[in-house]
This record gives sequence, structure tokens and C-alpha cells, in this order.
Amino acid sequence: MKVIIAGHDRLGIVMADLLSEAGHDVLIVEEEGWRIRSFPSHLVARSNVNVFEARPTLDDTMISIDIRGTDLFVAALRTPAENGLAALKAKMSYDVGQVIAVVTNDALGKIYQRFGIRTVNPYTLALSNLSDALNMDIDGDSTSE
Amino acid sequence: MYVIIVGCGALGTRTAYSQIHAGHEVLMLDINESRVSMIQKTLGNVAMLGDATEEFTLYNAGIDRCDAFIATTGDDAVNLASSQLAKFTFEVGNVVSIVNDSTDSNLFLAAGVDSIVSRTDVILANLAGTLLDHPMAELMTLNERNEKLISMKIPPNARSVGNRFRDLALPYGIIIALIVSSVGSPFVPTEDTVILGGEEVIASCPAEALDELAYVLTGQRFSSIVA
Repeated sequence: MKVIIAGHDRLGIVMADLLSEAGHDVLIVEEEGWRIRSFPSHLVARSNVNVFEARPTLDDTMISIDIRGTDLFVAALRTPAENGLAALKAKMSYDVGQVIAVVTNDALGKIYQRFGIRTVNPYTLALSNLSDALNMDIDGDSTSE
Repeated sequence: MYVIIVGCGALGTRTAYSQIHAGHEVLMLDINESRVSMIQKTLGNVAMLGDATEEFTLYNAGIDRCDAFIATTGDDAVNLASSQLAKFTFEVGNVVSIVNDSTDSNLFLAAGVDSIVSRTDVILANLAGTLLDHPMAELMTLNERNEKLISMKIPPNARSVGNRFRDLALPYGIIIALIVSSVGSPFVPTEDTVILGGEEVIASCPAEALDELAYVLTGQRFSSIVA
């Protein structure tokens, strides 16, 4: 599988690590060079991991990384709004089959889902873990004890 | 009418100014404290500090009773996300957004924004209109099929002058909406209206037919001048 990870969000980098370890071809697109230099060295050293320095939300970038030929696009940029723009573009302008966006804002997440984008909210997951750890129902899920 | 404007930059400020003078109630949003306080000093208590991509900010801004929502920031991601919240989460009737990167225009329309104004297209059209003595200016994009509202000044010696609209080979999909004349009031033309030099023609036109329309009305091709 060919995977493109846009941005430096920790979740994206962890996904890049897991997917490349499983044998998939991973391309990470990041705008800032100093962030690229701070990526884990074992990750960058893998032969099936490539890094491209460019602004992921630009059409020029999407064309030069051959986004149409990718199986999975993950938007893991700085803000939910940026991830939304990148993900909507990948899905609607370039017909990428699977698009995942990291969105820490549930209202925006619901909107992106309308357009066929899968969203991940790390805060929701954290809250659920925290709820379990404290043995309290703080994540609004009444079924958990 | 209650209008929410995202962005206290030059464009947002000018928009707010014109809306206030038209008698509308305006609230501006920005994440920059100094820009917000600048507005409060100049235009009064019409600006609020907050992130317009957060639904709570919009809720606090009273978006429930908002009639028109205008996103004007220099960041397309912010313009799109805030416009989508206005459209889908709060069901605002009229959502307009500035698009900074003109290649994003169709995406904005497909993603639910009612109408867009492309910053680069407007500047280019105005440049072409003023610097190069060009007769055509794009006023706005009308829909996601990329039909444009355009204004075309008819040169005194243009080939269409003296002809009726029915006699011209207008490209398919053109609607001539209004004639603005230097004398008298603007009027809606009929097929029998005779075109006069110096008149301004306001029309809706598919983007791919702009070139042909310019040629039929003025004898000059749009692309030959812009390129």
C-alpha cells in the first residue's frame, strides 16, 4: 500500500512508523525543515520511508507527490482547519480512496465525515482512557462502569 | 440584517465598514488581540476575540440569528472551516468566503460554501481592467459549475455597437442581465435592445465562454490580453 502522511502531528508520525514497519511505502510531507530533521532517525532510515519538504495543502505539492497514485492519505498538520482543507482536497480534488484527518474539533469532524473523510480525535480517545483509569464516567459514555 | 465577518484585516475591515453604513448589524471575529482592539477603537464595539474555527466561538458570537457569514482571512484553511461550520452546523442562509489560493475555488463551492470571491482573480481582473484598458472585469463566481458574473465595457468602436443582442452570435449559456449606461438608469435588456458604445454589459457567463463573449461584444479576445 502507498501511504502519504501530511504534516508532523505526533499521531501521523506514529502511523508512519507502524505502517512502514508493516512493509507499506510511506511518504511524509512536511513544510518545515527543522521538523523533518527532528523526525525519529530509525523511521527516516527505512528504505520504504521518504520525506518531502513542501507545504502539503498546496496543489503544486499534491501534484508533485503524485497524490492520485496513493491508497491512503493522512492529514496530520497543525490545526483541524488545515487538516480539513488537506483532506477535502485529497478526497474531492484528487479522488484518493482512503482519507483520514486528525481533527480535535468534533463539530468540524462531523462535517468532514459528510464528505467521506474518516476523522480521528485523539482527545476523545484520551478522555475515554482517562475515564477508565479514574474509574469514573467522564467521557459521557454511560455504558462504561 | 446581522452579519458575522471573520478576520479583522484590511478586507474584513472594509467589508464591516460598508455593511455598517448599509445599516446592518456587524460582528467581526479575529484571533489577534491587537487587531480586535484596533477595530474597537475605530469602528466601535463590533469586534470579538476568538477562533472562528471553534463552534463555541461562533455560538458566543450569536451565529444562531446570523443572516450572512463572510470569511475574509488570509488563511484558506480558516476561511473554509469557519464557513463550513456556519453552513452545516449552524445552517446560516448566506455563507460567503474569500479564497486566497484561486486553485481552491471549486473545492470551496463543492465543500458547501454558497459563494466565493477569489482574491487573486479579483486583483487580476481589476488589473486587466485598469492597467491594460481592458473592457472585461470578473465580478464574482456564481456557482460550482464555474459560471462568472462579469462586467464588460463596450468600446465606442466595438464590432457589436449598433447591433441588437438577437443579431449577435452569443456563446451558449450567456445571460445578459443588465445594461449600465452613462446616461439614464440601468435597465434589463431584451433581445431587441441595440448595443451602444460606452455601455457596460453585466452578464452571467460560463468560465470557458468568457473568451468568446469578449470577442463577440468587443472584437478582442480576453485571453490575448491577460496572457
